[in-house]
Amino acid sequence: MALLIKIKDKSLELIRYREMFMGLVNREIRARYKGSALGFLWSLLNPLMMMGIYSLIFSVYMRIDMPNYAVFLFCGILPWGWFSTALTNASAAIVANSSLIKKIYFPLEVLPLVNVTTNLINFLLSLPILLLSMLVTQTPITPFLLLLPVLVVIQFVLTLGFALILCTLNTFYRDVEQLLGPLIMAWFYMTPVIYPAAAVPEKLKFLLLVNPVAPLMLSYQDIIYHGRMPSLTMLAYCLVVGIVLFVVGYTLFYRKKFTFAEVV
Amino acid sequence: MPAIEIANVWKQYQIQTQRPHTLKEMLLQRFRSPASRPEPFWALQDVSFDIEQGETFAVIGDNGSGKSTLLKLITGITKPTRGHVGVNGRISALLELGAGFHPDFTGRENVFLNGAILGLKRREIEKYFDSIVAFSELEPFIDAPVKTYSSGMYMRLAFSIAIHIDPDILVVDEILAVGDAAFQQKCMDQIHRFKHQGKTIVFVSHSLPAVRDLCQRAAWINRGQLLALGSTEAVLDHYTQQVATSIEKNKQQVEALLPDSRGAIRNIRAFGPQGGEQSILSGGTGARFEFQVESALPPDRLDIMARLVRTDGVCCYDQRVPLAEISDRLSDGPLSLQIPELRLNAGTYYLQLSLSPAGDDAWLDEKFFNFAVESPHRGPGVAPLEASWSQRSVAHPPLPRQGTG
Repeated sequence: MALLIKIKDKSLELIRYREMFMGLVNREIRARYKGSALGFLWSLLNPLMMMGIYSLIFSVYMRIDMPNYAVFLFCGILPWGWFSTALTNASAAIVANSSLIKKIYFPLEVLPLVNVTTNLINFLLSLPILLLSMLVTQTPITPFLLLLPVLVVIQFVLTLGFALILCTLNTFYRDVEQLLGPLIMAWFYMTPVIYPAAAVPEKLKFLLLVNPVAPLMLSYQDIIYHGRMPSLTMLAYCLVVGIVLFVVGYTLFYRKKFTFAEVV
Repeated sequence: MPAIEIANVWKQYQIQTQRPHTLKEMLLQRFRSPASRPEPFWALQDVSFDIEQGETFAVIGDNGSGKSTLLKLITGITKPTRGHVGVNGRISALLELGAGFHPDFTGRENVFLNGAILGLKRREIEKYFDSIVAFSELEPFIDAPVKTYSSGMYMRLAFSIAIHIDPDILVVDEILAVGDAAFQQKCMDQIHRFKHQGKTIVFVSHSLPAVRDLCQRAAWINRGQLLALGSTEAVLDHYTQQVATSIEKNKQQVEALLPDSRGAIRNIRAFGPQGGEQSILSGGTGARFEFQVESALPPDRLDIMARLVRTDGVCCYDQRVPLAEISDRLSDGPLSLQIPELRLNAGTYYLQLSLSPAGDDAWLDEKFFNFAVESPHRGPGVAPLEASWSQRSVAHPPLPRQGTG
């Protein structure tokens, strides 16, 4: 009962600070393009150029024999970009805002939440490019595309769980930030984003299940590229892992957050 | 119900440099003997007091005494290791102005962002926006990025936002250390306005006159311990006396350091009207400062400058004279600065003595001597001038009658 009251109090506090949350998200998104001539257009141009490069490499140089490879690549690499950038930013969230957290009281959960949300918005902003690439390549648009919000919600919970854990760890051990770069790169290549799941050798197929991001990426490919129903078992698995990570991450974060101001 | 309750609060820190920052250091530490583990540092030790609703309360103490730790506990930034801190009411802390400003954003955008960070709702910021800008006097610049602001403009905008939060409890930490004199006065006026509105104010400052002027009660914290609690008068008296004695003790040690072969000021002492040596002087009576000057140069090639400065930086007196006017030969004996009537308000001051080559701004030696002044004249003014009030009576000529036509 006491725990429930505590959770209620904490949620109310977060609601009271929603203006701050929105202000910071706004700051992050607009600060990114402040001072550049093309401004907001970069959020469309950037993924477009990235797609151009990957398509060139994998369709011309290292041939991957798939129809409409660009669309396949896109439906994995965009959500992966959200995931990996959010983790990189969130792991540094407390350290980077040390002047703020040492001087002003606010619920510190806001900071990793801002990183995950900002990158979600950047992901959503790049969706028109995905849609455009589907139209250009005449990839059929199916009703399964309507499942996109479900995948986004699952990914949000999962990303936030990882973000809270990394953010807490990095505040005490700055090595995490350094380790994260190579780790995320390895993770990227272990996840079927640039290659289809079929390309994974039978003996290593189990890796697709150990890695909670893999079923998520496969589901994105199902609803966008293949135009078919994703595996609900795999999605449920992702969601459960996401919730567990979130609970673990939030508990860890909450237990340590009052010492953050002392160590940064 | 008190606004702030601090009950048996202990706060422990690990000394920063010894805390493991990396995995390697952490692993290494596992294998170290317990004796070489970092010593815990108690920043606060069993501190208890209540601050009542509507009270203006000062926390004084030297640097590193635990004042800032106490404020962080009150604002909720950290939690006590032991004990309890309770706060009743919306709290606004002016601990650092402009935290969260983004240099690329305009003043207008930063008002909204910073306001949100400080816990204001968008509607509230919109309501106060014009008043915030007017207070900051930045109307022409409000749509320019704050990176183009001078540091003074930056602080003015930040302070204007902070004071519009309309808190129940205002926590102010050394805010008067920034900005020019006019802006400092404006800040102080606003804080006084809060006081008259019956808000609870917790004020931390090294400016004892400002503390005396604003606060009803005070706590003196030294090395994490509460040394005195009570009326501002009593606590400050206690504090200034202790400061004076510790200065006495340190004086000889400090003066022994770094003697300049070309010139030195040594052994500054203060004497009261009866000629006894003392470091608390009485306002309105005579005072004499005695000091020795040693130099390889003859007096006609040297100047001596004296300044009386209040510890909040207000210079109350300054004069520079050729040393030849005072002395023919320095080795004949100590020199004196005689003040027949020390017309200063109560507070802490220092005497700054500088020895320079004649007509040259570079100094050969400079010494500071701290002293306190006791006086019935307490307040932010510098000196009790002999002023009097009166009315000039004027025989009024009869008013011309208003005609009707």
